[in-house]
Amino acid sequence: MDLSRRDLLQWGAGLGASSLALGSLGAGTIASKSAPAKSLIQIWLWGGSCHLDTFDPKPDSGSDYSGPYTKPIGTKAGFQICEKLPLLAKQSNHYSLVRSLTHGVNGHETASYLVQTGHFPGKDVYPGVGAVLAHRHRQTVKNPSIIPPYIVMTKGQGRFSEAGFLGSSAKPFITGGDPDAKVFAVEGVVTKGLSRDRQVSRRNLLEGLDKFEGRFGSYGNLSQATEARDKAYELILGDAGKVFDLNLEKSELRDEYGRNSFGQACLAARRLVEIGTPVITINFQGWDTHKKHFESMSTKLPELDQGLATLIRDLKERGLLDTTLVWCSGEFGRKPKIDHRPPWNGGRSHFGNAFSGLLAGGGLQGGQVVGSTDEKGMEVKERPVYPWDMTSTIYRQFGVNSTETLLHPQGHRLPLIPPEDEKHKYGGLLDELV
Amino acid sequence: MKDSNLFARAKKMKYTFLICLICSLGLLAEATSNINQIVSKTLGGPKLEMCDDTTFIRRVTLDLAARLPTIREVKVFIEDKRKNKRQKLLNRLIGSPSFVDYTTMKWCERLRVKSEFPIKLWPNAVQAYARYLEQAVSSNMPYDQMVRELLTSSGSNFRVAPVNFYRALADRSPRGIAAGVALSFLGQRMEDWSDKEQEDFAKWFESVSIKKTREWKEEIVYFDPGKDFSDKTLVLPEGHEITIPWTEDPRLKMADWVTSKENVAFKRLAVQRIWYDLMGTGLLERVDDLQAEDLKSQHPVLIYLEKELVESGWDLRHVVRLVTESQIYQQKLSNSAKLPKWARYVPRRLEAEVLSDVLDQVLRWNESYSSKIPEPFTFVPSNQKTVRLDDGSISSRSLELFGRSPRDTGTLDEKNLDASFQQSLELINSSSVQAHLKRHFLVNKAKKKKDEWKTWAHEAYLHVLSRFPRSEELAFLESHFQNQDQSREEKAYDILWALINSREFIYRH
Repeated sequence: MDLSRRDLLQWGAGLGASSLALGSLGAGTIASKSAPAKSLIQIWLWGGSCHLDTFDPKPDSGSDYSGPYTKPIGTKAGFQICEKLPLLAKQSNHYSLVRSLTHGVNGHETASYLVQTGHFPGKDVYPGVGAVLAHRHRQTVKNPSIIPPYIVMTKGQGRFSEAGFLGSSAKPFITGGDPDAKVFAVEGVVTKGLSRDRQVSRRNLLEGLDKFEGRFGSYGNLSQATEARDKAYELILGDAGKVFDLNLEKSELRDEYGRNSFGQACLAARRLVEIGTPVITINFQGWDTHKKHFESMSTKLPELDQGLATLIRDLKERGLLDTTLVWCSGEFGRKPKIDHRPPWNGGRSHFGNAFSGLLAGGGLQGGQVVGSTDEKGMEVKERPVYPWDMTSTIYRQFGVNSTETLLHPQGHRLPLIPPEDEKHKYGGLLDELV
Repeated sequence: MKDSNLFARAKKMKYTFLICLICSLGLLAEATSNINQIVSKTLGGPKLEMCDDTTFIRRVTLDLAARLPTIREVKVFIEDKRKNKRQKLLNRLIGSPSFVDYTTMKWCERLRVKSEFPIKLWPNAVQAYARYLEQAVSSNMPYDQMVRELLTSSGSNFRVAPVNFYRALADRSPRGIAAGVALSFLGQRMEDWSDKEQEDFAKWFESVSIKKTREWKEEIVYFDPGKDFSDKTLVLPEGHEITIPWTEDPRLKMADWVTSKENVAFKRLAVQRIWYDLMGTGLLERVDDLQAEDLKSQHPVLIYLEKELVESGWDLRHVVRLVTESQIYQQKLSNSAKLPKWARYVPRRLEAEVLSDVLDQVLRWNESYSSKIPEPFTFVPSNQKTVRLDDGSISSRSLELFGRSPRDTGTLDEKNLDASFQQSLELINSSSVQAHLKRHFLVNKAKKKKDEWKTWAHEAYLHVLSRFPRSEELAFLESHFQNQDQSREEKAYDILWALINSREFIYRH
C-alpha cells in the first residue's frame, strides 16, 4: 500500500503532538507498541568512576596512568576490561560498552544533571530519565501496582532534583535502610523491632480510637486519608511489601550477588523488575576517590563485579534481560593521570572529557564496544557519545519518541531532547547496538 | 410651667443620652453582629451551631499561629468564664510572632520567594525579599501600600527588596510581567483576556529593565525611558486611556489603578485569600482564578468584607479578625448541616510546613533541611520553625512528601493537601517517628510514674489532640491498658502513636 503524502503528514503530526503530560503516549504512538524495554535499572556510580580502572583499561599508558591495573582481561579481542572485574569479563556477550562518553564538565552537580537529564542547565530544570519514564508509566498504566513506579536505593541523588519541573508527583520512592542488613528496613514499609503482631494490634488500636469521620461529617477529603491509610497497610502487612524481603531468596544466590549493600540492592532490583516496576535506581556511593583511590578500588571493583555480573546473569536466566535495560555509569570519569602530590597522594580527580558506561538488555545488543579514547584515555578518539545521545537511545528503547514534549506546570511545552545547538552537539543514537 | 418645662427638657436629655449610649454600644458591636447578620441573612436557614471551647482553641491557634495550643493554654481557656474570651484569644493570636511567621510564609508562596538553580533568585535576594515581606506583615503595612511598593520600586535586588517581585518572575518580558501582576494581585490568568487586552496591559511594563552589576548575581530593576522621547498613551484593562509623559515611570499610574478601591479584582482576591486560608474554601469557588462572572458577583459577605477592607485603610488583619470572630468561622462541624459550600468550615489536612512544626511540637522532632543551591551555604538552626523557612528551595523529604508549595506560580492549587499512602507510611512506620515516640516524655512518664492510667490518658489527649478524652474513648483505652502482654511503656507508646496517626491530629477541624 502506498502511503499518501497526507497520511505521512498526519502520522508525523501525531508523533509531534503527542505529549507525556497529556498521557496520550503509549496508546497513540507506534513506537511504544514494539518498544523492547519495560524496566530500567540504573546503576549510578555516584561521584564518578575512572574509565581506566573499569571498562576502558590502558595497560600501556605507564604506571602514572594505569596504576597497578596492567593486565586487562576479556574473552575476545577489543573487549578487555579491568582485571578486577573477572565475572563481568566472562559474560561480555550480554552487555555492551560505551567508551566515548563525553561532556567536558568537571563539577558533580552540573555533570550529574547533564548525564541524567540529557540537557545542559538552562532556564528550566529538567527531570531525569528515571522520572520521565516513571511519569509516563503513571499516565499510561491503568491499574498501577501499589509499589511506586520509581524506586531509588537507598539514598536520593542529592546533586539535583530527580523530578525537575515535573514536580513532587514524579519524585522517586527512596527506600533508605540497608539491603544487606538482617532486615531491609525500607523506610515506612518495614520497621525494625516491630513484630507483625504488634503492627496488627496497633492498627486495631488506631481504628478503635480514630472515630473522627463519624463525628465531623464526610466533607473535605477525609475519605482520601482513609484510603491512603488502607493502602499503606497493604504494603506493611499485605503481600506487596514482600518484594523487599530479601530473606525469601536462596542464601546461595544472595552470596553470589555479594553480601554487601550494593550487591543486595542489585538483588532487590531484580525482584522489583519481576513484579513490573518500571524504574529502579541504585545510587552506588564511594567512587569520588580524590584520595586513596586504589585502596578504595580494591573493594569497590569486586563489589561492582559481583553485583552487576550476577544481576545480568540472573535477569538473563529468568528471561527478563530482553525487557530490562541496565544502564551503568557515573556523572563523569576520573583523571587518567594519577595525582601523587599531597594531599591527594595517589588519587584521581574529576574528568568530564572522556568516560565509559555499560548498557545491557532492553533490546540492545551485547558484546559490542562503541567509540574509543586515545592511548592514555585523555580524549575521545572516535564516535563521541554525548549525554543526550545516551538519553535519546534509552528513551527510544522504551518507545519514547525524541520529538515528544513535556508539559511544564506553567503551561508551556518543552522538548524532551534538546534541539541541536552550540552547547548540544550530537554524536547520534547508539544504532550500533540495535 | 417653667418647672415642667425643665422636667421635660431633662427627660429629653436623658433619652438623648440613652440613645447616644445605645448607639455607641451598637457601633462597637456592629462589626461582628454585621457579619453574623449578613451571613445568616444570606444563608436564610436556621441558626449556626457553635463549636465547643477545645475545638475553638485548637482551630484558631492552628489557623492563625500554625501551632497547637499548649496543655496550659487549653486548661486556662476552658476555665476562663469571661464571655469575650474567644475574642480575647484571637486578638492575642493576631499579631503574635507566630501569626507574623505564618502570614509571611503565605506571602512567600504567593510571591514565589525561592532560590532556584539555574533560574530565579539567588539566596541573597531571597533573604532580602522575605525579610521585606516579614516586615510588611509585622508592621501590618496597609495592603495597598505593600502592593504599590512591590510594583513601583527600583534598584538593586539585594538592597531594595521589593524589586524582587519582578526579578522572581520566570518570564521577565513585558508580557510575562503583566501576566505575573494579573496572577498575583488581581487573581486572573491573563491568557483568559482578549488579545487586545493582553497587549495593552503588557505595554505598561515595556520600560521595566533589568541589568547586572559587578557584584555576583546582583541585578538592578529600573525604569528605562527608551530612546524615542515621546509620551505614551496606554490603556488600562477597563478601557480607560492615560497619557504618560516620557519622563514618567508608567508603573506609578499602573500601581494607582491596581490598588484603587474601585478595582474589584484587587480587593476581591485579598478577601478570597483570607476566607480560604481560614475556612478552607472561597466565598466564590474559584479562589484565585477570578473569571468575569466572579468579578460581577454580588455575594453579600464578600461585598461586606471588601468594604471593611477598604474602609479600615486596607488593614488585612482587620478582615482576619472579622472572620475569626464570626459565628460562621466558629461553627460546629456536623454531618447534618446543610450549608452551601462557601459557608462551611472545611476539615483539611495540615499543610506540609505546619504538620512538620506540629510534629516538632508534639514529638520534639527537629526536622533537618537541605538546599539544592550549593552556595552561599544557608545555615538553618535545628530549632527553627519550618513555617519560618523563607527560601522555597530549602526543603526536606517530609516537606516534599506532604506537598509543600513549589512556589513556581504562587497560585493556591500549587500546594497539595491530598493524602497519599506514602504520607501514611511516613507517619505509621518511619524510623524518625518511631525513634521520637520511643523516647517521648509521656512514654517515660508512663514507665516511671505509677500514675493512674486515666490521668496519663488525659495528659496524652491534651498534648496531642488539645482536648480531654471522651468517655467512650476512656472505655476503649481501659481494655487496652488491661492487656497483660505488653509493658506500660509499650502501651503508652502505642497510644501516642495511634493519636498521632489519627485523622483528628492530621486535620484542621
